[in-house]
Amino acid sequence: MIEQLRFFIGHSLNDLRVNGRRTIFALLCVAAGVAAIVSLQTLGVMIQDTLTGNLQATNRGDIKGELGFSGFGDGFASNDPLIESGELVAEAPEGLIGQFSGETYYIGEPGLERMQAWLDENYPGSQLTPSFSIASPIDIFLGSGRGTVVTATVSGLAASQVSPRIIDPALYPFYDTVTTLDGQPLSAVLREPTDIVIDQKVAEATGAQIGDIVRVTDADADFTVRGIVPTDAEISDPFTSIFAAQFGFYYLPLESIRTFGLEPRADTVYIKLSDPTQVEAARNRLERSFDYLRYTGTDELVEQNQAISEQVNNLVTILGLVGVLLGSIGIINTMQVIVKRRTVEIAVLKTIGLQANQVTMLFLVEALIMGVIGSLLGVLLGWAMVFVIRGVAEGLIAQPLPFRIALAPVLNGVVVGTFVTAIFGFLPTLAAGQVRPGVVLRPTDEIIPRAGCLRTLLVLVFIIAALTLVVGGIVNNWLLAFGVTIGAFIFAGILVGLLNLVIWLIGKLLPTFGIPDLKISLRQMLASRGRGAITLLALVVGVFSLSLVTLLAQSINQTLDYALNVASGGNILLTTFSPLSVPRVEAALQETEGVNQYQVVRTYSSQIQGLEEPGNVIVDRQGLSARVEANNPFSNINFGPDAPEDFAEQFADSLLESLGQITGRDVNIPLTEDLMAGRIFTPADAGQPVMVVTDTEVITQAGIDLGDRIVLRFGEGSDATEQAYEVIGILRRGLVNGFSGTGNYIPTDSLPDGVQPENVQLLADVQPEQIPAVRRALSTVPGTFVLETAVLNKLITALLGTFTAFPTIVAFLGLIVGGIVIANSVALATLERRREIAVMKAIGLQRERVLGMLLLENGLLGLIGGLIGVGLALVGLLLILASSGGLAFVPYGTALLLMGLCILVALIAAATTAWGAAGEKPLNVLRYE
Amino acid sequence: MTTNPLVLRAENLTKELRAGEIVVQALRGVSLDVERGELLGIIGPSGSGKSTLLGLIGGLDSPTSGRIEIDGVDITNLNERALTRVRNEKIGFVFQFFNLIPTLSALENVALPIQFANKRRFNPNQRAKELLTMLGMSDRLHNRPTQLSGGQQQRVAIARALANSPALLLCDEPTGSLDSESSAVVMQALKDVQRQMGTTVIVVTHNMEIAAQMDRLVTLVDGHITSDVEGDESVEMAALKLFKQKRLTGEMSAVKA
Repeated sequence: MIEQLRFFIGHSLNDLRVNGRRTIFALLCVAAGVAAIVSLQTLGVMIQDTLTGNLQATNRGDIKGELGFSGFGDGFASNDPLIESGELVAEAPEGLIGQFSGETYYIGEPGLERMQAWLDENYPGSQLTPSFSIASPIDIFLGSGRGTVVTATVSGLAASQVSPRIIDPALYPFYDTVTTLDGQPLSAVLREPTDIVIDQKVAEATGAQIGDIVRVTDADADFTVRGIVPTDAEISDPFTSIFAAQFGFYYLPLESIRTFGLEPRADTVYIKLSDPTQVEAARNRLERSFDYLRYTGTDELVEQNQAISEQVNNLVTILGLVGVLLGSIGIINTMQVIVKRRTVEIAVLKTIGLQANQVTMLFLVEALIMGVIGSLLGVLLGWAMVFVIRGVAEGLIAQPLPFRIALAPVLNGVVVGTFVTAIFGFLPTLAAGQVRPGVVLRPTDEIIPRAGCLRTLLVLVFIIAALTLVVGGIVNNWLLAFGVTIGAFIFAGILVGLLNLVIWLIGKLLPTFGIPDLKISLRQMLASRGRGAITLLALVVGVFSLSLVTLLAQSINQTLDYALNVASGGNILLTTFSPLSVPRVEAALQETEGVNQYQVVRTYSSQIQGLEEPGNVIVDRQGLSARVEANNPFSNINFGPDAPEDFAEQFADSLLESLGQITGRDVNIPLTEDLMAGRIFTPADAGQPVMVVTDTEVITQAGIDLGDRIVLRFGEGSDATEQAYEVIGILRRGLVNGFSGTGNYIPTDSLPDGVQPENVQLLADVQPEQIPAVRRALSTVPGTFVLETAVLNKLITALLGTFTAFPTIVAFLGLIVGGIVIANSVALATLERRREIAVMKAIGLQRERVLGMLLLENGLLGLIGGLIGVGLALVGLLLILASSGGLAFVPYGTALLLMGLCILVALIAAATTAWGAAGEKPLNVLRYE
Repeated sequence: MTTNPLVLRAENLTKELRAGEIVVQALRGVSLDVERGELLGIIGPSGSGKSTLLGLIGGLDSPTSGRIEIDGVDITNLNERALTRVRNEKIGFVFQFFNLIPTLSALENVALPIQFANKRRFNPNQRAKELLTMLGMSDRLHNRPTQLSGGQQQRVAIARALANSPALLLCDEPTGSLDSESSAVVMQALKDVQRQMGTTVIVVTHNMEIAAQMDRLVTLVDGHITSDVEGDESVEMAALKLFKQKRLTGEMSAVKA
C-alpha cells in the first residue's frame, strides 16, 4: 500500500515536472482561487482585529454621548428646566421664520458640570471631556507665515467641508494618543486659545506649514498652526468621519471657543470610567439621567463590530469560494488534457496489470498534489494581495489595518483549494480508469477517455454534496447551502449551454473574408467549444461583476454630475439662515468679479386643493387623493397588522402634500433641467399663474397633465389665499431633482401678496477661479452656507469610490482568475495542437502568424466573454435604473472600455502561453510527438 | 555524369543531437547531390540518420557543420524566418501520419500553403482543385480528414505539399501508416508527380518494396552514406527489383531493411 502510494506520488511528481508549462498554469488556476480566499479572509481577520480590538480608542472613551443631528426643533420649550438651568443652551439664529424656526441646542457649562458631578458620585474617579463641532459652517483661510494671504487656490474646493474639532487637549483623547507628525501630543502643541493643529489633508491642500497664521471664519482672532497630524488620527466609524477622511480636519483648544463669541459648550462628551467593566451599567444609567444625549458604549460596539466582522468574514469566504470554483475550471481542463494525452500510458499500465481504480487513484494523486502545491502558492499570492487591497479596506472602515498572518485563512485556503481541486479533478480521473488498452494501443485512432453516464452522474451528485458541505459550513444552513449549490450548478449549466451556443453560432456564421487564419481560428473554436464555453464561464463571471460595479458607479456619478453641473443651473448653492441676510448676500455677489449670474430660489409651502382639468372637470382634493391611492403600487401591499387601516389613504395624501412644496423662480433665467413636455418659463410668464412640474410618480398617479390647473392654498385660517396654476411644462425626473428647488416651479411674482418663503437659497454661476473670492466676500455675511456643486460631486464621487472599491477589487480578482483559466486553456490547447502548429510551420507559416492565429482565436473568445459579461451588466444596470426611475446616464463608453479590457485579458493570457508554442521547432514536435 | 541542374546539394553534413549530457552523432559527413526530376529513396536501419537528413534538407533544422543548397539557395545559415519562406516556396513535406489540419476540408488543407505564401503564384482554390483532381480526389474535396481513409488523407497531404509547386518533395515514410493497397496508390501518385510535373521527390523509407520503385537509392548507416546506387546500373537495384517482382507473384514474404 505504502509502496503503491510512493509509486503514485513519484510518478505524478515526475509527470508534473516533465510537463512544466502545463503544470505551472494548472497550479496558477488553483492558486488564483486560493489567493482570493486567503487575501479576503486575512483582510476579514484584520478588519475584525481592528473593529473589536481597540474600541476604547475608536470610541475616544468608554462611553460617548452625542447630541447628534437633531438640533432643530426637537421639542424643547423655552421654559424647559434644562434650558432654564443652562444645562442645555438653546440658540435661535437671527430672523428665522416658518417651520425653520427651531433652535439649536448644545450642552452648556452647567450641563457639563452636572454630568461630571454625577460621575463623581456614581463612578468616582471617572472623567469627562467635551468636544464641540462649530455648527455654523466654517471656511478656513490660510495665509503663509510671511504674511501673504493665500485665497485663490489654497482654500480650494474642500475648504467649507473641513471638520473642526474643539477639544480639551489635556484630556482628549482618553485612550490612545494623537501625536503630530513630529511626535508631539496635542497637549504639547495646543497651549494657547489661538493655537491650531491641522491634519495632513488640510496641510497638503493649502500648503500650510507649522508657524503659518490662519484665519477661521467667524473667529475674531487669527490662529497659529502648531502641528500637523495624520488624517487617520481622527478615527471613528466611516459614516460620521467621512468628511474628516475626505476633506481633513483641525483641532482647536476648548478655550478658543470664546474667539467665536460663544460661551463654552459641547455637542459631544467622552467619558472614561474608572472601572471600564461597568460600561454597560453606566451607559444605561446615563441614558436615564441625561436622556437628551445619544450614547455609544464600548459594550455595544463589541457586539456590533463582532456582528459586522462576522458578516464580512462570511461574505469574503463566499466570494473567495467563487474564486476557487472559477479556478477549478482550469483544473477540469487540465485533468482532461492530462488524461487524454496519457491514454497510451494508461493503456500500458493497465496492460501490465494496474486495476481501473488504481489508475484513477494515480491521477487523483496527481490532482491532489496540484491542489496542495497550488494552494500553498495561493497562500503566498494571497498574502501579497492583502498588501494591495488593504488600502481599499482601510478607506472603507476609515481605520488603519495592520497586516498579520492569520492561521485560519491559510488553513481554509489550503483545505478548500485541495478539496475543490480533488473533487473537480475526480471526473476526468475516473474516465482515465475506464480506458481500454486494446483500443488505445492502435496508434492511428484518437481515443477520448470517457467515464460513462452513470459514473458521471454519481460524480456530479458527489460534487454537489461536497460543495454543499463547504457552503453549509460557511453559512450554517444546510438547506440554504444545498439550494445555493444546486442553483449555482443549474445557472452555470445554463450559462455554459448558452456560451456553447454562442460559440457555435459565431463559428458558423461569422464570415472569414477568405482569411485562412480567421478560418482556422473559427474552426478550432468550433471544434473545442465545450472547453471554450466553460473557460468563458470563468471570464464572463469576472467581467460581469466588474462591469456591473463599475458601470453602476459611473452611471450614478455621471447622472449626479449632470444634475449638479448642468441641471442645477449654477455651481454654487448658497443657503442662508435668514431671508434678512439675502440682500447682503446679493450685494456681495454683485460686488464680486466673476459671478456670471445668480438667482434667488424661494421655496414655499402650500396645500394642494384640487385640479381643474380642461373642459371644466374639477377634481377636489379627495378625488385627487383617491386617484393617487388607486394608482399607487404601494396601496395594495399589506404592511402588517400594526399598519393603520387607512395607511394607503394617508400615504396618498402625503404624496399630494409634496406637490404643495413649490419653488419660485425668476422667469428671465431659464430652467436648465431636461424638458419632457410643454415649455419652460419665458419672460412673458412674469406674474402669470403658470407652473412647470417635474414628472414624479405623484404627477402621473394624480393624472396631472399639460393644461391642467393645480389649485394651491397658501397660509392657514382666515389669512389663507388660493391660486390656480396652469401646468405649462413637465420636466424629466432626475436622480437629484430638487437640488435647486422642489422641482415644481412657479414665477416668484405670481404668488399672492403676503406669502412668505419657507426656505431661501441662492444659486450662483461663478467662474471657477473666482469661487474663493466669492467665498471670502460671503464670509462677512453671518449664517451663510456656501456649497459648491463640485465639492458635493467630489464627496459623492469619493463616497462612491469608497463603497465600490471593495466590490471592484473582488470583481477584479474574479477577472484575474478568469484570465488565468484562459491562459491555462490556451496552454492546454497549444499542447494538444503542437503537431498541428508544427505542420503549419513546416509548410511555411511564420511564428508571428501562428501566434496571431492563436491570439485571434482567444481574442474572439475574449470578445464573446466581453459582449456577454458587459452586456449582462448593462442589462442589469438598465433594470436598476428603470426601477429607480428618472433620467440617468448609461456609460456606454466605459462599457466599451470594459469589453476592451476583457479582450486584453484574454489576449495577454493567450500571449503568455502561445508565444513559446508558436516558436517551437517543427522537427522537435514531428520527431518526438 | 549529371545532365539536369541540381535541386539539392548537401556537402559534408554533420549533426549532433543532444539529450541532456548525451551527445549523439546523427550524421557524420553526408554529401549528396540530387538533380531536378529525380526519384530518390533513402533507406537505412532505425537510428541511421534518415529523418535527421530529411529534416536538414527540408530546412526544419540546421546542420552542426556542412552546407546545404536548395534550388541554388544556400540555406545553411538562414534564420528561422527565411527558412520558413524557403519551406513554403521550394519544399513540400509529406509525413507518415498525414498531419492534415483536422478542422479544415481536403480542399482547404491543400489551399493553405498558397494562402500562407508571401507571393501567391496560384489561385488557392483553383490550384487545390486541380491537384486533388490529378490525385484522384475530385469527389472528396469538401471532406474533413476524419472522413477520409488513410490513403486518401495521404494523397491530400501530397497535394498540399505540391501546392506551391516546390522544387523538392520530401516524404518521410509516406506509406508507413497505410495498407498495401493504399501504399500502392500513394506511390503511384508520387511517381506521377515526379514524371508529370518534373518535381524532385525524396522518399525516406524502411520498406524495400517502396525502395525498389526508386530511380536512385541512398543507404545510410550510422550517419554515413554507405551506398548510392542508380537505376539499372547497379546489382543492388536489380536485386531489389527482382525481390519486388517475387513479392508480387507471392514467391516471397515482405522483408524490411
